[in-house]
Amino acid sequence: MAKSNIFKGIAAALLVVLPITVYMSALAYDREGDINRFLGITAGADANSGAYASSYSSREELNAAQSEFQIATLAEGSVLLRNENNALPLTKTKVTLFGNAAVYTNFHGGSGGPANAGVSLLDALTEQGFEVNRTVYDKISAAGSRAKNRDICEVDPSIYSAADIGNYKDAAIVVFSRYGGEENDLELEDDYGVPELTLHERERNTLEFVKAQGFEKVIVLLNTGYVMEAGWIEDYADAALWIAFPGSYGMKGVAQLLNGKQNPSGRLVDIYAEDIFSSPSTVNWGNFAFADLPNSNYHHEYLVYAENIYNGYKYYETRYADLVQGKHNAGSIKGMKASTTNWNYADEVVYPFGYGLSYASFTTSFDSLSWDKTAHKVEAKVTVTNTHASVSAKHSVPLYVSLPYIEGGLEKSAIQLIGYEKTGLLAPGASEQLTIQVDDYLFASYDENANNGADPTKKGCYVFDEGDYVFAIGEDSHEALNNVLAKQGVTGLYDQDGNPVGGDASKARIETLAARDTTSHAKSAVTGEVICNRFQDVDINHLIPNAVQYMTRADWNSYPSRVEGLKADDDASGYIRQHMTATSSVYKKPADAPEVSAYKHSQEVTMMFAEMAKVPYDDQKWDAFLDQLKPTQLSAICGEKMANDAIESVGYPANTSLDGPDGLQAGGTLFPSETLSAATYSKELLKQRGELLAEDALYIGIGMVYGGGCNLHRSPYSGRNFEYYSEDAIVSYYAGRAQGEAMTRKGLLGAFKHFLANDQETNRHGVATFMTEQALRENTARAFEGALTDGAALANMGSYNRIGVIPTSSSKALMTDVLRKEWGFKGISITDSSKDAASYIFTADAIEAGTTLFNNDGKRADECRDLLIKNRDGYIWGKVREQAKNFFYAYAHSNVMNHFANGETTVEVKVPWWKPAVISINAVLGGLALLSVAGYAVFMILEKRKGKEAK
Amino acid sequence: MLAKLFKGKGLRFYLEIGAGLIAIITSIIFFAMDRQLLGDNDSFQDISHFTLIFLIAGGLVAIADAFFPLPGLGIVSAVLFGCGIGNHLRLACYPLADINEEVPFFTKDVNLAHAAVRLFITFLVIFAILAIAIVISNFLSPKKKEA
Repeated sequence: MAKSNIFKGIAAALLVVLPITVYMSALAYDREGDINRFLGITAGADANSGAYASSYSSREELNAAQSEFQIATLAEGSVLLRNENNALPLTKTKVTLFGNAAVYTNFHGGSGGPANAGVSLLDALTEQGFEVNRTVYDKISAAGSRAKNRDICEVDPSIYSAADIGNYKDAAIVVFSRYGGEENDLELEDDYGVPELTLHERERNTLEFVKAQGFEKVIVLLNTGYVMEAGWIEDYADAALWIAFPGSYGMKGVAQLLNGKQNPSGRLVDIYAEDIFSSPSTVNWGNFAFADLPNSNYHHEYLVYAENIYNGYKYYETRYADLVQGKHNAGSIKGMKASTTNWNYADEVVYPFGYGLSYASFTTSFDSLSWDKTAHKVEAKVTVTNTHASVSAKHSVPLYVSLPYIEGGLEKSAIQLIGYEKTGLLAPGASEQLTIQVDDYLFASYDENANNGADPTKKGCYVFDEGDYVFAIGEDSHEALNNVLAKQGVTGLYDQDGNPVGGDASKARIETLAARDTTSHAKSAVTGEVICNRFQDVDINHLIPNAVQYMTRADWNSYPSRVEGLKADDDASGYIRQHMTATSSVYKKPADAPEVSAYKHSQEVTMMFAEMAKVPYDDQKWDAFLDQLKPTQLSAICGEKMANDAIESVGYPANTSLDGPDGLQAGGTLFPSETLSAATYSKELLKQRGELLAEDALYIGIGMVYGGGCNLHRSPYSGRNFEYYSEDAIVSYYAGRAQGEAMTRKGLLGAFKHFLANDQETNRHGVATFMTEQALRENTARAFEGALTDGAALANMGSYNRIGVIPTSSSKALMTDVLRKEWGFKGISITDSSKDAASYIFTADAIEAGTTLFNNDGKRADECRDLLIKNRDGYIWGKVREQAKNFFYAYAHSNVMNHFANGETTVEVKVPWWKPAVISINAVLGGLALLSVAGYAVFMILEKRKGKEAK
Repeated sequence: MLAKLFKGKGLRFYLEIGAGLIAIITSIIFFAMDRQLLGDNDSFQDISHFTLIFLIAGGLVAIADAFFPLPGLGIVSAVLFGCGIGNHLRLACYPLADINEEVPFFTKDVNLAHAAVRLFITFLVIFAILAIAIVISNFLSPKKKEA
């Protein structure tokens, strides 16, 4: 072989490989945050020293605490749906497991976070002394696989044989699962041709088989972060427990619930309907597109929250209240699914919101209630007594209110949760008096037509209408409502099974307001900012008159229909078309924008980041600190890469961010799903959840987690419901606040997401979301308000959808006027991964609106730099400085301050090892390729000369 | 005429012709299947056409080099194949990441992610074999050795 050919061949080989490594290197740099996460590279400091030092001496000690916490969460969050003849706890130990999920349990939904793995049910039961039928277990192992989207993967029940059961007949434990997640709503018609949340044929056949085998007891476990249609439970199960996705160690808690070592005290955070699609919020859920906008990614879809404020239980209970009073056509056939002749609560509802049984039994007495209308506080005292002879247990007490409804006036739910507390462990016969304190802001109604009581030039504010406010306790929303109605003298009441009940008037208290109040909550109690209409463009009827009939309790015939075929051009102003079709920035530099020279930069460094730890938000030192940064340093901040680089000149250490909310990626512990945590109705456990997430973050080395999740369960089919707390904004409010405060206290920035109205995964990118301002404020936004108000959490993550037609991250009304001005939020607003939303979330627009960081999108820093340096835009410069301040302020209250544990103020800039490695590989390959090409050229010339000479 | 073109050609000629033609045909098939599968899917729609362009160009250059061997043309073909495969591998990383994470962040659908991975890996293997053929051809002389 000629030498030139050898070099040519080597050059060809190298030049095939080189472009491949260059491509892969470019990809690695483009997604460097993901690469670092994959390789476990974080910017963490020592977990055991500094301002936010761990409370645990080692990761092992922390893991033990997390295990205990998860057992407690499962005990207090699992909901006992049925327990006929005290089927639970089990007193005998020889059990047979059935159902695919008994082996292939889902420990987590399909979303960012740790792997879907944990202690198995088999191991947990064995640890608790149960003897499990291994023959049947092994058959399921061989035939099954984990449930996934569209496919519940239930094993064919023909694998079960009566001969396999032997003497393992003390109990059959049947486990069913449903799985969904990010980008994966559950299917309205799955691979089996049925709605995914219904009982499937294979499951029913499994239950039929089990029923025929003569087990002493049949126990059903629902391993799902979603509501399932559950009317079948009473046909097949002696007892049923909803255990959601239990996390790494949660199955230990389940086993301890089954043998009675723990007592269930969870309450439902969602109502269970006989037919999920009877809920009005499910009607306008899914896929809707403007009829006259071109079909293009992210620019033509919409949703209308036509159910108005009546999400979840608020619909069923309010309609029931009107039904028993013969009002508002509540018995009409509109919206009827499970009822036979007329709409009937007992036919439509299986388990009310807040429902949950216990192995113990309790009495509650409503001792007192006071509403201090000056201090704006409601205080209820309730005594709980454990009346069971032998079981010690905890018990939560939810407090509800029924607001005065004025015919044809502002929409009001007939019953709504406003607060709750939980007892400690009550021994048999023991009592505890709980004090439930509620800020009355949480049940004020938003009236967009009111004249603002604080600023007569503005429209809209929270109001209290005149009339009777009936506060009530009850074991669930329906019982509380019946107590309200009993207090009001209404008769003809019945429970969710249709049994006549009288209600208990002693568990309700009336407070009367003589006159309408439009001043108490016309201004923010936190900041003093006037609260007024800010989302008129979010109500489609303000853009296209009479486009939609929102549901009103004034006439239940207004139960919504699908809002299809909306036309953007029916909006005469062109506002819808302009924003929906924009593919480049809508931002225009204001005429009165300041000169860039108004801002100092690149000043001599006299103040290091380490010194900013205790500097108050409004202190002018922040301006002086920012003056030290170069424009490129300032602009670089917004281009978050699941990390921010160190800034050596001012001593800012690097930080790393990871996805959550049910645990941290890159080695974190998997926590029980958020919805289960909320179902504990225990602020203490939610606080512990926040603390333990923060502890995990210390050991993994991250400063910010993208979680918790506060979106509402608008439909049970929404794929991420498991990582959002509830259908109810108040449950989310308290849960988010307890968890957020705890995370902040321990130095973890919890970016509560997805702010806001990302209540489905279908079309989540760019979908225009329309609703009334009342629904937005009382439901959608309220769910986030606890976590984000006045220093609870110091971060939030935006959503991909639009609020109205404006992307949420670009909505000044949302990101600045409400979030920062009304709620007093101080910290970071980060977009969802904006690289994938560049066609509608524009850099300048989002920065102007109040966005701080662009998630996993380093290119935004370049765009920001161009706005500052090329465009010399003084207005944006000012906004970028504001956001840089928010960034530094938040991280000054985070565990990155542990870098300065020993009093140093400087930082070392560390480059991840893979970066020089990939550059070196490319350089070496490139060098060798050049040498080979040169060798080829040289030898080719020499061989030609030789050939000529030979001739 | 056609017989004349093929007369006295060695292994290199047939490797280049074969690899070039197969690259052109398979890259078109891949692109058609890719579009059929991913449609207007958002996150990585833009770069499959580069795979098509690079592999068609690489194939054409390989064929040209077979008939009209010029110094360095074989190397150009190899570079184009490398770019095509690099682009293709980059594209494949997105659905692979979705499967690894069990979250269809890029493909929006787990089933789609699995289908995309099957498609990409199948064609990655084909393109890699073709690239190896091109590399081998570069070690060989254009003319058949005289007996």
